[in-house]
Amino acid sequence: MHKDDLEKLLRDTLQQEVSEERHYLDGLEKKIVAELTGRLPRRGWLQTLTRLFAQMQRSHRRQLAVIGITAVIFLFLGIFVSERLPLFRGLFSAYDKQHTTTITANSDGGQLLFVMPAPGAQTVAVVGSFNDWKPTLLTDEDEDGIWLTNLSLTPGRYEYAFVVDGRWWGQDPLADEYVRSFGGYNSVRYVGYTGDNI
Amino acid sequence: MKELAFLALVVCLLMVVPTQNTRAETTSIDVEQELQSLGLQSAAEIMSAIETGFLQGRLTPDEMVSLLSNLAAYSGEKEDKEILLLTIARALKDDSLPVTMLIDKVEEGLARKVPLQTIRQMISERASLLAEVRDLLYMNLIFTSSEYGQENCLVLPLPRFDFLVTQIADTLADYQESGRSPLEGYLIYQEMRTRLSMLQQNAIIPAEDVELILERIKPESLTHVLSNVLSQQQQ
Repeated sequence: MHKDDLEKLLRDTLQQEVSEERHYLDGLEKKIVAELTGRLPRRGWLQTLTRLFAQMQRSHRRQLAVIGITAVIFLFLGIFVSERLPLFRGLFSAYDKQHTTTITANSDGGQLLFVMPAPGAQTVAVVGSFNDWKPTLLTDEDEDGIWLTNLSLTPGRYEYAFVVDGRWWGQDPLADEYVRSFGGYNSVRYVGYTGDNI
Repeated sequence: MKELAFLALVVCLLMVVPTQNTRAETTSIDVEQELQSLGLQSAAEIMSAIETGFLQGRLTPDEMVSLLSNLAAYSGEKEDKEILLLTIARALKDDSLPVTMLIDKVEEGLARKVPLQTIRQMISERASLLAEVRDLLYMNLIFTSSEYGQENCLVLPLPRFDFLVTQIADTLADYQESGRSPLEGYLIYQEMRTRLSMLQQNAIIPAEDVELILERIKPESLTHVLSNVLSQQQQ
């Protein structure tokens, strides 16, 4: 056999063998890394934190403690404010005394918009079972005759009426239904829960 | 360490402030004071019933103070105010009924400046309806206490039972006040089904309670309830 032919034959044979065995190399790096990682001693997050804390200088430890306590204060402040401001009230206590299980109110916190077109009116209020029938005033800031207010209500069924310059108006077009009451009408709106775990 | 001590002090103060605010909430003493200001002969009986309502979780001091102060400021005979409050007190204590609906109607009547006698009549009718509906649930083996542990009976927690009684009675009262015939059992049943379905759709009432009521209560029993109340009022 000629020398060149022999060289070509050898090269082809080598190439064939390499290509046949190439799949052994695929992912080999990953396998090695995974195996090495598996052999390393595993630490829990608490151990890691403790180790890091131990390695810190004393002054850094104090700073970390101050940051932690400040965070706790802000948490308390958040809960404190949320329970007292009408805007946030109900976010943490969406519990209806009529139910025996805790359920979550709408993500909008049961916000209900009351709208009453009353051009030229002096005062417009809404009264209902949500405010012991005591007037909550609506406003018309842009003076276009459309009076509105947004109330945060816990889930339930509410009867209400508008009072325009002292006259009762119990048929709100946005109501879910209407009922007769004391010879007049009341509008009814349902404020629901999200989820089905009641 | 001084900063830490200061921050700890701030945290403690923040935890104390809400407690002090809670102490300023309305209590039964405020309710009693409002009741005394009305100068009623049956004040002791009424107060005793109100206390029972507080214990059962059926009333709150806030709603009672609101009701009593509104009544005190309302023009009208003292006797009418007394009968009105006695009706609610007896429904609560003697008949063990939920009275939220009654209080709400009184508040509405006062806000609408309806004469006290008209409010009295409406409250009396609604109290009778509550009792009839409660009995109807009992007859259909739906109870609120384990003492009625018969076979096939269902015992609901008090708030859920009260809610059902209130909603059904309110539906029947609304039907009656709209001037429609109490003999149309199917129409009354439809009204009740619509109300309960709306409550269920909004997840205000559990679906199992609605199914239970619609399955066990029949249109003819609702006719019977309304007829009973009408005959009681005529007597």
